[in-house]
Parts: sequence; structure tokens; C-alpha cells
Amino acid sequence: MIQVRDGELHQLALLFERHHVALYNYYVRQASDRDLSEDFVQEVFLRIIKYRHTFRGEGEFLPWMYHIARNVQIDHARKWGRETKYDEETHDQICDDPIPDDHVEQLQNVGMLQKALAKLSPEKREVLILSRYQEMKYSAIAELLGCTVEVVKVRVHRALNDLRKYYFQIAGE
Amino acid sequence: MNNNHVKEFLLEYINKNLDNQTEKSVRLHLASCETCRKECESLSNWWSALEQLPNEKPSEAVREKFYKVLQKEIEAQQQLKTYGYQKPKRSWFEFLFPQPVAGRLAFALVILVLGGLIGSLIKQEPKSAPIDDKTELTQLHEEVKLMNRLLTVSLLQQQSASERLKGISQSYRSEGSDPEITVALLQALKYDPNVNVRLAALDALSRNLNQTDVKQELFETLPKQESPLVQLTFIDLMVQHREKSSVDIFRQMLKNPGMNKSVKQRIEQGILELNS
Repeated sequence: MIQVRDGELHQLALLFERHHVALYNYYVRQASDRDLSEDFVQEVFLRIIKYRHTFRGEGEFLPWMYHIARNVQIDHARKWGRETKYDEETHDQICDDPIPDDHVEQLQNVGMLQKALAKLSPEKREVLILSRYQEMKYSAIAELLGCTVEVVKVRVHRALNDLRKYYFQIAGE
Repeated sequence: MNNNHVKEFLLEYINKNLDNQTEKSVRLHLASCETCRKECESLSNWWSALEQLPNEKPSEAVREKFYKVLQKEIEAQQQLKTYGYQKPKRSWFEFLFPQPVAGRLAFALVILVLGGLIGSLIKQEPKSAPIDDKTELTQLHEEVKLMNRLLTVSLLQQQSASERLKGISQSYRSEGSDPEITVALLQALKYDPNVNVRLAALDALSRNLNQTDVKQELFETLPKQESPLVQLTFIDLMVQHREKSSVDIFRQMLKNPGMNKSVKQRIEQGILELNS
């Protein structure tokens, strides 16, 4: 990213190829609106191009990118007056394949897992997605969310506990 | 280390994010605590299970749009580099006056300088203009004077008495005294066959009575005039102008035996008036 900032714009293609799918899934897992998620990804990279000079070399690219990603979401929510909500139905239709039995005994299928994820509060879902899928360190998440590492640690742990709880609730229905 | 503490560290333990010392403590605790061991196993399973959520791919349109925008940006950057519009650092002038403002300011300055130049050029011209104008005006004046003279003289030479009268009227248009017109008028007074023309000429000449030569000419001409009307007008004119020198001429005229009676009386009365 430092090279991009210093004028080697073509290097941004590399960053795009490396991160755009993960970024897209960051949005999809939170709201599951695929068209909107694509627009968000597009907007994030547009902002990266536009505000490349604001990137400070000492930080990592990922926290910076997710910082922009969150702002895109917030701006959208402000503009349309609502928060992006998790769309369970879309996930039901697409991800209903059963997990092989030998993988994890307790987990019957991905659909139920997605439903459980959807039940999480947005704050818990976000930290779980960031730490599990975006592979961000707690310190980076803490910096991104503007809280302490301890808070992130507790929130991830609680998110996973809630996920288990919701999963068995759904399984029992 | 109690269970709560371990639970807090379990996820990091699973993800191998703990420092050596803490990791060792957790490992020791897990070896002795079955509850924590089970919890750790469960969390680990769930953490792995989350991996099962499909990683979806966005449509190709996202990539296409991104590369389009990137290409545009790269081209724009190239252009900036080629034409040197983009400067790495802004000078204090650019800081105070951003590009558009600086451009406008420069334009205004150019217009101001141009205006000043044009103004100074225009201002220089009047210096020579009065001379030119004066010359031109004098020339024009002379031309008008000449035209007037020519017209007067030419009209006075016409066959028709009314045309000659027009000529005399024309003579009034000349400012001051034009010697040639005066000569023409004297000629008309002396030799014109028409009394009206002679009378008009006398009237016109009365404007030049202050000129000695004109007055002299009139004194010489009057005794020769046969028309009593002209004689009477002349006498009235002299009396009106209090020309005492005309008394001698009057007396000379009185000696003329064929003198009109009325004229004779007017002369006598005039002599008395002039002498009084």
C-alpha cells in the first residue's frame, strides 16, 4: 500500500486481488445482501484510490481497509436511514448443504450455523467475522473499533458462546 | 488460575496467539481441569466449524469496474506527471492562492496591465490632437470664408436684381470684414442700376464705417449718388454714427442746384444735429 500511496497505482491491483473476496464476504456475512455487498466493495476500493495519500506507512493495510469498509457501511446506513440487516432467507436458499458427519459431529448443516450467526447482535457478529474470517489480530480489531484488546477478547468469546446457544436453539425447534 | 480466567484465554490458545508464558499456564491448567479441557475442545470445534461457511465470490462486474476505475486513475496520474501539473509540495503562494484563484488573479493582472497600456496610448493622442484640430478648424473656416466670398461676389454680378440682393444678404454671413466683399459692395453701391440694391449695399457697408478707407470711399461715392433715397439713407447713417467729418460733404452737396428738396432739408437738419 505504501507503493500505491507513493504513486505506483498499479500495485493496487495486487491488493484488490488479495482482499476483495474477503471484503465481500465480510459484508455478505453481516447483511447477506449480495448486490449491496458488491457495491460496498466497489466503494471501498474507490475510496482507497481517492484517499491513498492518507495511508500512514506505519500501520497495516487490513485495519485501514476495514476502517474504510465500516465507514462505507455507516454512510450507507445514514443515507438510507436504516442499518443493514441480516437476510436469513437468502442464506437458507443458498447454503443448505449438510456438513459431512465426520467433520464436526454437533454441526448438522451450514444453514443452521448461518441462522445462528444471523441471531448474533451486530457488534458480536462483527468481531467474530473480523477475527475468524478476516484473520485480524485482537489488537487490530481493537484499534479499528476504538476499544481495548480486552473488550475485543471478551466480545469474541461471548459471540462464540452465543453462537453455540443459538445453534442448539435452532436445532431444537 | 481459575476456570474463568482460562476460558478467557482459550480462543487465543486455540489460535496460538498467546505469549509463551500464558500459553504454558493455560496448557498446565487444561491438563489438570477437565471442564476447561472440554470447553477448549468445544470452542475449537466451533471455531473450525465456522470455516465451513462458504466463502462466496462476488460477480465479475466488481473486478471489471475496479480495473476500469484504476486504469482511469493511472492515466490521469500519467498525464499529471507528463504535463507537470502536480507538484510534490505546495509553495506558500499556492497555499495562499490555490490554482483557480491564482489563474484568475493572473488573468486580472494581465487585463489591468493591458487596460493601463491602452489608456496611456489613448491619453497620448490628445497632445497632438488640439494642434491638428486647430489647423483643421482654421482650414475649414478659411474654406467657408472663401466659399462665402465667392458666392457673394458671384451673386452681386448676376443680371437679376433680386439675385444681387441675395448676394448682399450673403455678405452678412462673413464674419468681420472681408476686403474683397467690401470692394464688391462698394462697387454695387457705386454702379448698381437698381436703387434697392444700392440701398442694401449701403446698409451692408454701414457695418464697416469704423474702417477709414471704407468711410472715405463712402464720402467720395455719396455726392455722385443720384437717388434721393440713397442720399437720405446716407445722411441718416452719418447722423446716426455722429460722423462730424461728413459735414463738409453735406455742405458740398448743398451747393448742388438739382438737389432734391427733401434731401436738402435733411442735410441741413443733419448738419445742425452733427454740430450740436
